[in-house]
Order: sequence, then C-alpha cells, then structure tokens
Amino acid sequence: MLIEIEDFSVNYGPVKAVSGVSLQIARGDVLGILGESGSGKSTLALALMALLPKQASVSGRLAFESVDLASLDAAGRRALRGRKIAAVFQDPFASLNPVMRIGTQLRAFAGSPHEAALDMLRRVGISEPDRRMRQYPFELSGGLRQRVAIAAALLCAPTVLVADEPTTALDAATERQIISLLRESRALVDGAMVIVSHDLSVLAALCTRIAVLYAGEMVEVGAAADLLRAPRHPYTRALLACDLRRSPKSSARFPTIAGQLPNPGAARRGCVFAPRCTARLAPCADHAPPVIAGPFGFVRCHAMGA
Amino acid sequence: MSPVLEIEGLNISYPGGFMRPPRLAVCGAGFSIARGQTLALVGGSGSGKTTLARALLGLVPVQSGILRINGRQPTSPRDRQWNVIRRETGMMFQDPVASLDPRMSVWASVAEPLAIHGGPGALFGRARWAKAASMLDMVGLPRAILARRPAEISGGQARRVAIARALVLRPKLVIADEPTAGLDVSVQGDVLNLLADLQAELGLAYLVITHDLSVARHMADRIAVMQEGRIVEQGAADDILGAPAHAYTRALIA
Repeated sequence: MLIEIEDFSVNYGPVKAVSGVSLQIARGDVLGILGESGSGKSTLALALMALLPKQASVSGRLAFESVDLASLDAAGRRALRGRKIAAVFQDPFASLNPVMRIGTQLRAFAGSPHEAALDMLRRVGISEPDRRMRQYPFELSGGLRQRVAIAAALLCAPTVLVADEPTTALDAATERQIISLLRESRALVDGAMVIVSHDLSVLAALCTRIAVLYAGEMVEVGAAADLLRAPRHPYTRALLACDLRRSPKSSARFPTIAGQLPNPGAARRGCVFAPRCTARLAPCADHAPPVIAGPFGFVRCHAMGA
Repeated sequence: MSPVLEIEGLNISYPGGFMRPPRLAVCGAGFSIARGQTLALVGGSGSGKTTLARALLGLVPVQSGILRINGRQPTSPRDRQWNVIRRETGMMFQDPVASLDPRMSVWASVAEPLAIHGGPGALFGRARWAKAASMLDMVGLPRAILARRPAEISGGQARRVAIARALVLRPKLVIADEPTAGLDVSVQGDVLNLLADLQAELGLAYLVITHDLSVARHMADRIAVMQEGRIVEQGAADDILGAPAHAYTRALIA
C-alpha cells in the first residue's frame, strides 16, 4: 500500500481540523477528497504533502511507503517533498516564484536539465515552450500558469501527486482544459494522485475513488462512479442534490442543507452530521456511527446499519 | 411598459498607451431587461462581461451606443443622471468579502448607501440603524452580526450582507457579478432562493454575470453569451441551452 492512514487526527489547539480518518491509497489510485469549507480537506492535503505547520498536533498514523510521516524530522520530510510527493495548488501565481523565469524555476524545482523541462512544457500542451521558459509568471495567463505548475510537479516524477483545488481559480473553459491535462497526467505518475476539491464535477471527471469529508470526519468512501450514482451517506446524498449542475431546473426551491457546521472547537458526541441530517435515528445524537464496510468502500452511518 | 435596462450598439474601449493601441473591450452589445426579469450574461474570463456591467453604473466610460436605465440616458461620464442611476441600481460584486470595507461593521456597510445617496428620503441616526437592521431581517441574517466586521462572518453571511447593501435603496435593477462564486455547494441554493424571493417580492430586474451555465440555467429568463467583447448569441434561456446556435455556446455547454 502506498499510503496508509489510520485513525488520523489533526488538531489546532481545541479546533478539530481532521478527526479519526482512516484510508488507504494504492498505486494507480486517483483518489478524490470531497468536502466543503471547514471539512478539513485542505488540512488532510497538507498532511499528505508533509507540509503541516508546527502548531498542528497530530495523532494516529499517516504512512507513506510504510514510513510514518510523524516519525520523520524536517530534513526527512523535505527529502520526500519534490521527489516522492509533488503538489499542485489552487493559485499557481502564489506557488511560482514571481522573480524567477519559468525555465530557471523548472530546472531548480526538479533539478532537471533544460531539455527535460522544455520537453515537459511541450507535454503539458504549452505552445512555444522556448519562449515560455524565458518568461516570468506574471506574463502568463492563469491557465498557462497552472500548466507550468503541473509540469513542475510532473518533472519531479513523483510517487504521489497531490492537487489541492487545481481548477478553482480558473474559468470554465480553462478548467476543462486543465482537467483533461490532469487526466492525461495520470499516465505520467507512477503511483497515485490525490485531488482535493469542493467541486463534484471535477472529481467525477478525474477520480477512480472518492472520499467525502464532513467537519473533519470521513463519512463515506467509494468507487467514484458508484458514489456519484448511488451515494449512501445522507450528507453525500444532500450534497449531490444541491449541485446545480446535476439538479434539473424547476420552479420549486433550490435544495440546500439546513443548519450549520458544528463549531470546530466543541466537544463531539454522536454523529457529527446528525443535527442537519434528514435520516436521523434515535442513536445518532449519542452514539458515534458504526463503520459499515463492504466491497464498495465504507460509510459511517447509523441509518445504513439498521 | 418600457424595460428597466436597455442597451444598444454599446462600445467600450480601454485607452491605449505609448505604442499600444486602445483595446475594444465591448463591441456593439445590445439587450434589454424588463421588470421582474433576469438576464444572464455568460462568457469566459476576458470576454468583457464585467466591463459591461461596470459601464452600466458609469464606472467605465462608454464610447458610443445607447444606454438607458429606468428611462434615463446619460450622455457623458460626468452626467448628473448617473447619481440617480447608481441610486436605483444595486450592485453585488464578485467577491463580497473583498468588496466590503474590512474596517466597517456590517451595519455601517449596509447603511452606507443611505448616507451617500441621501436625497429626499434620507434617513438619519436611529432610523438609519433601524433600516439596516430590517435589511438584515429581509436577507435572513441575525441582527446579532450588525456590529461585526467582514472578517468575523462567514462567506455565505458576507454574500447576504452584500445583497442587503445592494437592496437598501430599493433599486429597480440589481447587477449580480458571479452571485454564487466561492460559495459551498450547500449554501448556493440558499442564496439563489433568497435572490428569487426578493425578485418576486420587489419586482427586481436582475442582470446576472456568470461563467457558470448551471447558474444561468437556474436563474435566467434570457441568456446572452459573450465572447471577446461581442454578444454572439442571445435568447430565451431554454432555447439557448436546448439548441445553442453559436459554436462558442455549444463549447460552453459541452
């Protein structure tokens, strides 16, 4: 198993960012992590990139090729990043160095020769790669910058490529181009890809498996096609119903999820989604939901066990 | 009844500079919106849709063409009629958190248009406070957040504050730039329901600017598709989405 996550939690003081997440990522997986704001998806992404800040307190296990990341010192984590683990962030303008030419930073990132960088720019569909190598990030459009960021990540020949909201800052047409580029990139990553997004359609287009996070807890994991066709957890079902791209137009009200996220600093009791759940049962308020696993993946819900 | 907003053959260009020719951002745009109707202006980034919206408030000078809002037709960027147009037009900017002044409380942000556009119906002191509080009721926000600053409220709440601010002067036309951008999927419906309720209640005309066709499909009566400054196709929403005539529209839908 490439990545093993077991009962993994991340707290910032009293704030529970990620709670009790268990998940395995195998070679060849393209895993989508789906969550809304406050779901802990970005914290989990940072953990996967070995980039959690110092003040985060971590418990449980997150192992990369059987090595627990928590057992590594700063140098050990640095050795992973940019070699085994590569990242693509939401805002490529922030992740590229503004005062370095594209070519200079591609060579510096991956320690790769000029020819390899040039070739990679060509492979990610950048026209006139010679000229782009001499340009600065501000001279490129958002879509081009994201292509450069993906090229930089691929140049590392990573075992795991983590992309955190890779298309959120782009317009619809560019978004589709970057999605198809990421889809082609799957063949270039000899390992796994993890795509973190709030956008169902992005994950639907890219992923083999999807994990759904709510308030820091993983409520459902399943094969992408199954999960999108027949979601099991009430939260996943409600979220799918809210997606404007999927719901038919009607004169009736737009579906929403009533209520609010629990306060991230509050003590937890019972199911974290229970206060907003329409399928709530008697035990939901007091007892943590059971993990119901099957060939499909798993779901944490009292209503599924009944 | 004459439309709330009417434009015809509108040209907007950005001035050039040394060795740089002026750039035509909007070229020959024309459409109209009637009371209680919603028109969605759809296009990719750089298509000129936001520039066009800004021109409707006189924030960007118009080069040529006809622009009529509530029967007023300002002729120059300094025309006094702009003051009336701005009073009668609510604007919701793309990023509500960035468009609110970070140092101003929610109450001050919502009440500010009342201070700026005073006029004959001006409200002062306690009455202005009461008006701001009633606007929060209208958009479904608790009055408890009146004293908070934009950094202390959620994205969905900031969106509602922006709606309250846009509506405080009882406009006839509301321009909404990407009304659901950056919102969680589960909150988008709340905002769209609210906008639909307010439209039905107040008879507002909406100009919705979006790159998201699903938003256009759910909100709009009519859709105008913009590409590189030109409106390449417009018509009833169902017609455009059901049978797009222009290649660019088909590419957007695909």
